[in-house]
Amino acid sequence: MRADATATPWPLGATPMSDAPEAPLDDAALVEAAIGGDTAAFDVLVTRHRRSVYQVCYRFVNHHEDAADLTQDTFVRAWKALGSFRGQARFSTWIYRIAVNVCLNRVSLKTPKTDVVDFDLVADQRQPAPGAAIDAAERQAMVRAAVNSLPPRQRAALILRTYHELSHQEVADIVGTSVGAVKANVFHALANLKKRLEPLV
Amino acid sequence: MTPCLTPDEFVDLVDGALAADREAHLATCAACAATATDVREVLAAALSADVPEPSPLFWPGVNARVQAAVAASPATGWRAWLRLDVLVPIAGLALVVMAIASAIDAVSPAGAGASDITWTITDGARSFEVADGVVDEPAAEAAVSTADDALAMMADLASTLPEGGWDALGVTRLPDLDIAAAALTADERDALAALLQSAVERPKS
Repeated sequence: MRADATATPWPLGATPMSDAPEAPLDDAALVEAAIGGDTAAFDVLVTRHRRSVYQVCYRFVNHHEDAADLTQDTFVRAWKALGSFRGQARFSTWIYRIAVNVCLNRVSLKTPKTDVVDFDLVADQRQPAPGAAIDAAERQAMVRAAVNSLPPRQRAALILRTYHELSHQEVADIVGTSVGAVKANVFHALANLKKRLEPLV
Repeated sequence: MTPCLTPDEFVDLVDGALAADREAHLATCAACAATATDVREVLAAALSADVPEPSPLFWPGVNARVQAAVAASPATGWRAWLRLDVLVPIAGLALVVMAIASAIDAVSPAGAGASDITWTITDGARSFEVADGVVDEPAAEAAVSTADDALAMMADLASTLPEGGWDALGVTRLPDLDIAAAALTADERDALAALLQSAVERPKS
C-alpha cells in the first residue's frame, strides 16, 4: 500500500511521540499505542492509510463528498474497534475490511437490492455524441461510473483486486467469502463492465 | 478438445497464473479466445481510470474530522480506564507505595523482626517508627533519598503533560510525596496502610 506523503501537523494539544528523528514505527506498534489510548499514534495510522481508504470509498460511490464521509466513518469505526484487532491480519487489510463494510452498508441503504443496474441511466449524461472524440478525462469518468454501477459484491472484489492489488485470498478475507467466489465476482464484474463500456472497448 | 475455461480460469489468465495446458486451450477455442481478449481489454480500460486527486488541503481535513469524531466518541470497555485522569492518580499512588515500602526496607535494622516496625501516616508528614527505638541513620537518609527519587519521577511525569493539561483533566499536581499522602482519602489511607503493613511483614532477605 502506498503511504500518504502529505504531511499532517500534530493535532492541537497532542504530544508527538518523540522529538528526535527516529525510524517510523510500523503499523503494529502504532496500533498497540493507539489501543492504549494514544490518539497521536492513531493519527499517524490515519495519515498512512487515508489515501487508500479514500480511494476504495471513492470507487464505491464515485462521489468526493460521500467518499470523504465514508473515509471518516471507516477510521472512527476502526478506532472504536481497535480492541478487537488481534494482529492476525495486517492493519491495512483490517482497515480495508472496515471500509468495504462501511461502503456496502451505505450502498445497501441507497440502492435497491438488485444486481440489475441500468447503465444507461447512470452514464447517459456522459455519453459523447457519436463520432466525437472521447478525451481521457471523459473516458475515465465513464469507467468510474461503470464500476460504480456494478453490483456491490462485484464492485468490492474488482476494486480491491484490480486497483489495490490485493491477493484473491486477501480480498476473500476482507469481503468474507471464498477465493473462488472472489474470482467469480471479478470475472462477472469485468463482463458487466464490458457491456457497460461497449463504446469504449 | 479440452474443456472451455471457467470464470476462475479467465481471472487466473489475466493474473498470469493459469496453467500452461489450460492456456493452450485458447489456441483451439475461438469463443474462449474472444472472451480472453475482452477480459484483457476491459481490465486495461478499468485500470486506466484513476481516482481524481483531491486538493492537498483535503488530507489534513480527513485527520481533523477523524480526530474530532474520535474525541466525541466516549471510550468504552476497558479502554475507558486508559485515561490520564484515571491512570495518573493510580500511578502516583503506586509510586508512593513503592517509595515508602523501599524506605521501610531501608530503615529496618539488621535482624529486626517484622513485628518490630510500625508505620504511620499523618497529614503532611512521614514517619518511621521502630519498636526498639533504634534507627539506622544512614539507612533513614537513604530512605528519604529513595522517596525523593519517586518524587522526581512524578515530577518528570508531570512535565510531559502539555501546559494546562493537568488542570484540564481535573488532575491535582502531585509535587510532593507528603501532599500525595495527605491527598488520600480515609479509605485510600487504609488501603495504603494495609499494603505497607504487608510490605513490613515480608520476610527480609
